[in-house]
Amino acid sequence: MGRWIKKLAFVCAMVALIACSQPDHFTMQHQPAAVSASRQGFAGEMEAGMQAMMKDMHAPGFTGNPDVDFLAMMIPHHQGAVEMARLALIYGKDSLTRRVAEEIIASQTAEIAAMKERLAILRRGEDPNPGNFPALHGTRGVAPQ
Amino acid sequence: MDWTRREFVANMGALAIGAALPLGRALAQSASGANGRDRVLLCNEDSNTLSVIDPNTNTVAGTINLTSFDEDPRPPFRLVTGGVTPSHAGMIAKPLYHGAINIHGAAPAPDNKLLACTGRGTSNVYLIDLETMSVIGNTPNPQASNQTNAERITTGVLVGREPHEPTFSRNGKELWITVRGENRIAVLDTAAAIDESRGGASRAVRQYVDCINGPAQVWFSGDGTLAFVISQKASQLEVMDTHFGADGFSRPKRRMLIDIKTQDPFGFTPFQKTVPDGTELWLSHKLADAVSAWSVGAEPKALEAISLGKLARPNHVEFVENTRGKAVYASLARVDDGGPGGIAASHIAIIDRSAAPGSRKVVGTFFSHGREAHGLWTNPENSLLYIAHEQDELPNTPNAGQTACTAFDVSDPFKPQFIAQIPLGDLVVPSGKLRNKKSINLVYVRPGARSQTA
Repeated sequence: MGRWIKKLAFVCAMVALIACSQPDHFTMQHQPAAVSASRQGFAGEMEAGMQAMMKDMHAPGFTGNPDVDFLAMMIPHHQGAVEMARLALIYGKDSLTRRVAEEIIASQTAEIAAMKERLAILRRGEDPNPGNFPALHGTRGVAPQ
Repeated sequence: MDWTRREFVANMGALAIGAALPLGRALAQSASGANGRDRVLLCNEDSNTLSVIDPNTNTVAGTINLTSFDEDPRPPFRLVTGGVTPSHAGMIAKPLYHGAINIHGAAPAPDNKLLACTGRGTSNVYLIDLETMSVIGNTPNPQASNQTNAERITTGVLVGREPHEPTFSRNGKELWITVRGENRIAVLDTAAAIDESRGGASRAVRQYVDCINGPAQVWFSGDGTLAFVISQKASQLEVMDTHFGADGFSRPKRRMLIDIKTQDPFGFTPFQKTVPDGTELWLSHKLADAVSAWSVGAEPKALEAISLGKLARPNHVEFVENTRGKAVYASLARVDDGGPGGIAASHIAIIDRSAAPGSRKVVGTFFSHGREAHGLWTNPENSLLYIAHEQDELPNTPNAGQTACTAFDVSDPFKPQFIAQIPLGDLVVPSGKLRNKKSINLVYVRPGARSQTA
């Protein structure tokens, strides 16, 4: 039984590896212009969107700077969410699900813009006190002994 | 009619008046019927701004700022900090924010010199000078520098929780605001409201008038003697005698309650307006997917209820009447497939009002060229129509991510011709850009000329 589980795990890992190494036939920057139902259908477009998201998330790699890496990987993650939400609006019917999709597009589009701006600043160097003003939120430190 | 969303699209396709011009064409098409000083104002509920459109060029002439961003030069309190712009939902939660929250309703004064708009979340009303397109009551910013706005936003007039729509009395001396969260109407002295907005000693609220549960909007009869109150919580239409005295101020009293369960079993009627000759009152019943017409008089009578199709979700109604016909337009919130350029869009329903009461029906629809159509208003000549939209344009469309207003030539009320889709763009403040978002009410104004509230 243990061998079968190991074999199954190996096969799953290989499938995942192959999926991640698919040719770049679709990226976030090259989405189809169509905004209504296409011949591909929801499943096809969703699959393509998720593949593109995974590829774009892995693309930057790790630099050793968690802030930079987080932003670099979270941007395509959000772009993938926006694409999924867009497809939900084109193909879906449930009004409440559509509302969720609308909110995802609205909020995550703004967050993508914010992350891109911050990432550009961080890639130019550390900026712990934006505008030379003490940070108000999100500080990290060591509690005094 | 009891159609599904897709059936509605298919069935109305034959009647639909399609796009006369391709999407994304040059926006500065000549707009016949616009006067040089005309402006279209849109209430942007998520960005807390008012977009001002010049109908002569169909471009954004400016954005009126009702936020308090960039009054404070310190980075954490500005709109953009270290490159990070907050989401629209999060921006009003920034520390020290004291600007508007959820700018929603709007109405012009009878002389089109003043606009009132409500802040649902801020529980207040702001007044806009339509001749200068400025917020009445803003004061010089005590922290002003080259990194800040020059002005500090006024608080306007606080009226109570969840104010929905403002309406000026026919003589312009009062401003009635339905306070939806308190089941009453705030009746303001317009002159005192201007003074209070400026920080003066006046108290603008003359009185609170108790009314039906969940009041959505007040509209007055043409002679101003009757006030009609609709609700988003009760299937009722309330009629008040206004009793305006020689001093120009009202002493309102309930006259009657009308059960409108037949027309609106859900009790959700957000908008109403009288026709240009004042003889009829039209109500939009959003959850009932219908509009209804009523005779205007001491005892209004139901003339008809008109179904707009399943999930239509009508928001506002507008009347376009000229030498070529009399039409009622209803903006639909529903977003339909198969819009211009393959882009999903809302519809505007067209009802022929020249038919005898009781026999009127939807005679056509046209795509609004935007998503979730809401406010709509015509110019004084009834030759142009402008439409506000709640939802941004989708990714991969010409104005992706933008809230858009659209313009139509309605010289023939039954054959509207698309003129332009106008992206509302951004409010630019010293620290960055705030994208205008989620338009609700829309008003077409010609400063100094009689408005629809006259």
